[in-house]
Amino acid sequence: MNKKYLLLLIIGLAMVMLLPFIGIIKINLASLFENSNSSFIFWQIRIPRTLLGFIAGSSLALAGLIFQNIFKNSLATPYTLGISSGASAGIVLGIKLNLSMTFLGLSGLYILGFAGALISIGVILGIARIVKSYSIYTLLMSGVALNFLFSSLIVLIQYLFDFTQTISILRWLMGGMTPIGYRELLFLFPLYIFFILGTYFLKNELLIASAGEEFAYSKGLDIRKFRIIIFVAVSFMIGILVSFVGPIGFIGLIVPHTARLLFKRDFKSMLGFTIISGGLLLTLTDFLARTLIPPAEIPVGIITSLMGAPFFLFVLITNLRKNG
Amino acid sequence: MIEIKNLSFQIKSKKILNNINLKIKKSDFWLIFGPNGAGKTTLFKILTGLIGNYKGEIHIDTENIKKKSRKEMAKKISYLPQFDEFSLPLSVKEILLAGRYPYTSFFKDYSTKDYAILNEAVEQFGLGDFLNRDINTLSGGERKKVLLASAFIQDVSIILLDEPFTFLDPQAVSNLKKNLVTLNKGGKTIIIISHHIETLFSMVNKTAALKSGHIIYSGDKVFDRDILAKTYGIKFNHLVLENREIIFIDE
Repeated sequence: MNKKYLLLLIIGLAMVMLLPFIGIIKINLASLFENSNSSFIFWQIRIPRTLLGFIAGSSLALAGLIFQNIFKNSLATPYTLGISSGASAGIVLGIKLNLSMTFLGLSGLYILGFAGALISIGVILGIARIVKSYSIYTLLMSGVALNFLFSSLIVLIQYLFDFTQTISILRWLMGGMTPIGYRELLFLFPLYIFFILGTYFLKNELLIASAGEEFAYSKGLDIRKFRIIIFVAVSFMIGILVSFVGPIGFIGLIVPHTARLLFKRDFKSMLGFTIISGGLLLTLTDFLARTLIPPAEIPVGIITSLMGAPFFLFVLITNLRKNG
Repeated sequence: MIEIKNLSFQIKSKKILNNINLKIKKSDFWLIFGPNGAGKTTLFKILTGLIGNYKGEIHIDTENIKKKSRKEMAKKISYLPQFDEFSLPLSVKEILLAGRYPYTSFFKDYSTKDYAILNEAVEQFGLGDFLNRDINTLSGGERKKVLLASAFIQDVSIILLDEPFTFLDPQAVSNLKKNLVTLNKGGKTIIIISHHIETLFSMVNKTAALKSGHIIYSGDKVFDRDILAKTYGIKFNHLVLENREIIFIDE
């Protein structure tokens, strides 16, 4: 393994292990394995929260990388294309309807999140097919329109809620680590591993897809079929993630873009970097979110947007200057 | 080895290709010429499998191409479009290695043999200095060379090139011609579509003239004023200079 990687991995693991010790409430090391307040906070709140942050950040970054390759565009991410807001609308609707049904062991909320994400991607693909273009303009404009549409839907549903529900929905929409237990983590973790392994095994396809439709066809990749499989899989992942952490934006833009700048000559390294740094970035941001202005907590989605929006503009300007 | 039988294709009511019949043998070097909109690129897209809803039959090595998987097709035929669509950074090495993609599977990544084939081609095409360059930073001629090398690495028997000489400077044209002649001598079947017959006529041994979706002529290369006039609507002439046949527009 590459030395740079090993360093990144060590920093990452150290961070993930250290962060739960730091916070508003001091963790008493001596009572970590006793039945105390601080051991409860450590084991039942901070550890799961850190793990959720890592899994979510890593998956969002990876989803961003996958979308950028499939759309051949460094600004295409689940958030900018309106996939996350589609998932959000589905989930908000589910909460309003008080859905507690399950389907094949999955909560109805995940299914609605997945459905919302699929609707967004279907609309974008439809538009791209009608205008026969996957240009920045087509994709981002469709994303903007979808974001408007789903935002108004969410506001409408919220308007119909009672006041206390509205506050908690609003908080979720700002993005953040909901308190989760090990049961949910046990559900998320295999999906996460499956997502990473799937991406790893399809790395050659993802690389070839980023070279364009005719190139892919000529090299033996049925890109139309591949695209659909990827979209369904990624939408599923996004639907579930959004139901846990809300529509957190820009992780899927910042991390893969940096990976591309650092490893433009090796897709495999890019993948590894994206998976590790995505997790680190969100864990760290979440740490800042809960420690910056104690005792209050800043929604983590607000911090990522504050970092991400200028970054987005920067990438947009570079892209437009290059391609007109 | 390629047999096209009664091939027709239309988009809505517009006929793009009309009852095309063509036989292409191994190691042939074809130029398919014709004005813009004659249906040349469509023919290539059908041969590659990019367009599937055509009428008629196409056989490669006696097998119907509709029955072949994408990967099986990519072991036989490679297509270099007129314009590439690169936008994200991709290294030349990655582009070349993609030529071995048809020989991989979900669990089988590129093998040491694939890398050996890659290195051989890098030597043959003189691409050593380019391997780690981003494809987007190369000139038009260099990109064409990389894509041709990638098709060579793909170990196909048929290479299709769509207007390969457009936007190339004379030196790049000359280099690409040399590479194509070498490949053809090595046994590859090469088919070029272009309207630049003046540049290409001398290097091929078979020609076909395509106009408004019809084949006007196909077979051994001969200079025929009538066919050229019928295809392009203008007069052509030729002269032989030091054993080289030169074609020019005579108006």
